Amino acid sequence: MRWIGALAIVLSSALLGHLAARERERKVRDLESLLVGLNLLETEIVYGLTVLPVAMERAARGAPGAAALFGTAANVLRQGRGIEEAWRAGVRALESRSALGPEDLSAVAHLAGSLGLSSASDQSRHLGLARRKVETRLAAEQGRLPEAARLARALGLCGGLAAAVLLV
Amino acid sequence: MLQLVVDDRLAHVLSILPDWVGQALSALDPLERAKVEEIRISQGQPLTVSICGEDRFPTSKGASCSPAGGLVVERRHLESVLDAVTNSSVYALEEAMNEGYFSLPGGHRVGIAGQPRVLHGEVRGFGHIAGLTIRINRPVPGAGLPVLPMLLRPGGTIHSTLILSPPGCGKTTLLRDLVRLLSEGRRELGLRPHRVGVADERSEIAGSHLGVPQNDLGPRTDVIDACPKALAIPMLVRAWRPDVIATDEIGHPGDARAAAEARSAGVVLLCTAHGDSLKEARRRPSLRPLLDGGAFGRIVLLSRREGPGTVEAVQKGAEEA
Repeated sequence: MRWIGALAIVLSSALLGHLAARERERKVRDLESLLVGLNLLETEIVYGLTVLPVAMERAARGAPGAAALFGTAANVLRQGRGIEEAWRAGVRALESRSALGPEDLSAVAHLAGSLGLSSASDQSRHLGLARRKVETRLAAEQGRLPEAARLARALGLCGGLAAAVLLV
Repeated sequence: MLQLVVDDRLAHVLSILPDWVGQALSALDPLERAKVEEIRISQGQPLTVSICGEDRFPTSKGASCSPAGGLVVERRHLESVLDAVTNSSVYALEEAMNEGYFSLPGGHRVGIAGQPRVLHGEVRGFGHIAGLTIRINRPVPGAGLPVLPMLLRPGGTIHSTLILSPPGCGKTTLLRDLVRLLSEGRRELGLRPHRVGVADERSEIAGSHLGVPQNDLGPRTDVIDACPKALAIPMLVRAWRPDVIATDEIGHPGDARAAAEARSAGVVLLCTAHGDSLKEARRRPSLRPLLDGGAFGRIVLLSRREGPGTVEAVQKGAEEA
């Protein structure tokens, strides 16, 4: 019985470590998707002069990992509420449905005050700045990812083994 | 005088605008609503509607003739309207805004007041917007019928025609209905159906939304929407072989050149331009070559003397055979 308990502890702890590693990997994928979405949005705005609700719907379709941001913002805009409210609602939705936290999304959240309100060249500058900040964040996460994922998995397994040894 | 059709185009405009505008205008009675020509929303000024050329100020008790007691427009009001009419996408209307106005779905025109940015002598967007005037597009079926017999020529076709008037006298309304009548044809007048190409730079003739005309322009009409006239007219001539090309507000030299080329290709022109009289129109460098070169066989002069669309005169132009 004790051995079975020890085995369960090891497996659970290893699983926790694995999940933590997966969360880090998911964060990288979400940042990549956000980047794709911002690129699509910029293309629609600057080259297509597409109105924001449509541009955001297209960005949501092209970047499923960030669809919560663009899709929610498009829906709120369609309800006749302003862009600032729409974008903030989108950022909140992405935060709740992805591995991204407020610090990952701060640059994107700042777009609420400028999106849609000026010329295409201004929009390109605002979106470009947000994109560069997301790129920097992504590069940092990608750099840390192999080591962090290995560490999380190893810590999970070792922690479980240590607990099992103490128990047995 | 044109007869206004009692349809509620105002409701369409109000569905685009924020709720507060609709609430403010809810005090107007249905007949007044059907005659609203413009809504003026200027920061620090009372909300104003123009009914049959006269200003009215919506209050909780109806439309007042005096600004006292009217709803004074604040910055937040103006911003909410700007957000709504631009679909939160100012950049998409940048080109049109440089001209001082843009169009809403349905062909309603939004004029902009404020402080434009001027670079190398050209407007490059607006730094500050202080007011918006929304002119309601209201088609008037039959508006062209009184004028049409005077434009006919042998062979079941019409003379190239220029409609001249100051702003707000019904030029576009008349043009729109003439397009429909030409496209349908009128057997009783001896007018055969025509293929009509419309260069609708500001989306006011067809009221297109996403490229699809919202106004009835007849079964043989093709529209190039939201494209500069100087580019749209040659496209229509090349691609659609129209009998008639219709366009609104010929003003730039490039527009006039494109129209003259279409005319020399044998296409009948149906155009509008701002002007009080033929004499005044001739003073404009862009119009003079068209008028003196014989591009138009008929000049229709409109005024508001008896309401929008009052036909003051139909004059002969110097059209070449």
